[in-house]
Amino acid sequence: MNGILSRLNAVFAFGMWVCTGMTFLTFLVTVGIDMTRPHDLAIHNAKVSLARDPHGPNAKQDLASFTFDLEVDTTPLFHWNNKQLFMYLLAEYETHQNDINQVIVWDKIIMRGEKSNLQIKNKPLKYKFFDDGAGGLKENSDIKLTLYYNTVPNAGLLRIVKAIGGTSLALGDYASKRI
Amino acid sequence: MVLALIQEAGDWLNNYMGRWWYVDYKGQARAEKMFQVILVLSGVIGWIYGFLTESMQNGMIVLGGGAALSSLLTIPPWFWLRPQEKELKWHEELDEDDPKLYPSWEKKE
Repeated sequence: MNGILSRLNAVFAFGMWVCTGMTFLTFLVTVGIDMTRPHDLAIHNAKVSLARDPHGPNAKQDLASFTFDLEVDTTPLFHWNNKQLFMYLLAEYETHQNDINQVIVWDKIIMRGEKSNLQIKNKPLKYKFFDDGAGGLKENSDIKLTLYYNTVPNAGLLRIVKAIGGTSLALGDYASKRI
Repeated sequence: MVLALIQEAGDWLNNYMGRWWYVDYKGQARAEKMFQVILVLSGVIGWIYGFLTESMQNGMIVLGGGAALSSLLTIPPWFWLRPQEKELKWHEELDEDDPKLYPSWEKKE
């Protein structure tokens, strides 16, 4: 403390301690906030076909496609310790081949300050909805579609939240008969 | 490189300007107390301000202001860091050739 540099070091080190304390306090205040939000999801034009995944195996696989309407108001999620939301639409279903299938068909990043009240109409899928193998999606009557999101805080837990609601999709036979 | 230069400059100041450019013992305690109080206060105020304006950035800006203020008040050797200036007596300058200053094994022949 008797030199200029040692005082500079002491002020900086103590300032960092105060900064740590503020950040930890922020974490404590915001960690208990309930981050689940309801959402409305509607599916249109669902069809299933047999196609070859250009980035996958050579054999043809079931490929589903649909458009969806999504209504979700994420404005309350952007409290002072949340800077980003990574939201994705997850299809979960069961086939004779696998008990658990999870396919992400669409995602979106919302930064703090961007439009957070989403009213999406007739949106096509962002990623192709391929099944693992053939015959799994055809005439599958219970494909659960739910919105999930990661909340990215300034300080705290990176949580995966399942939004309240969701919908179930029933698929029919292949759209084109030539296989 | 830059840090080494700053270190050099600080050492030079402390070695050659120490007689005029110093803080005394009680001044060090005072400096420590000053920056602790200023930083904690600015941290608390900044946190509350950030909470009210719902922005962590605002709180950190207030803390940065407190850090700048405490740096300004405690890092340069201001006169308030020398409360013992009047009572502190400096030793008279010594004659380097005085044989009493050196231990026997370093006696100059």
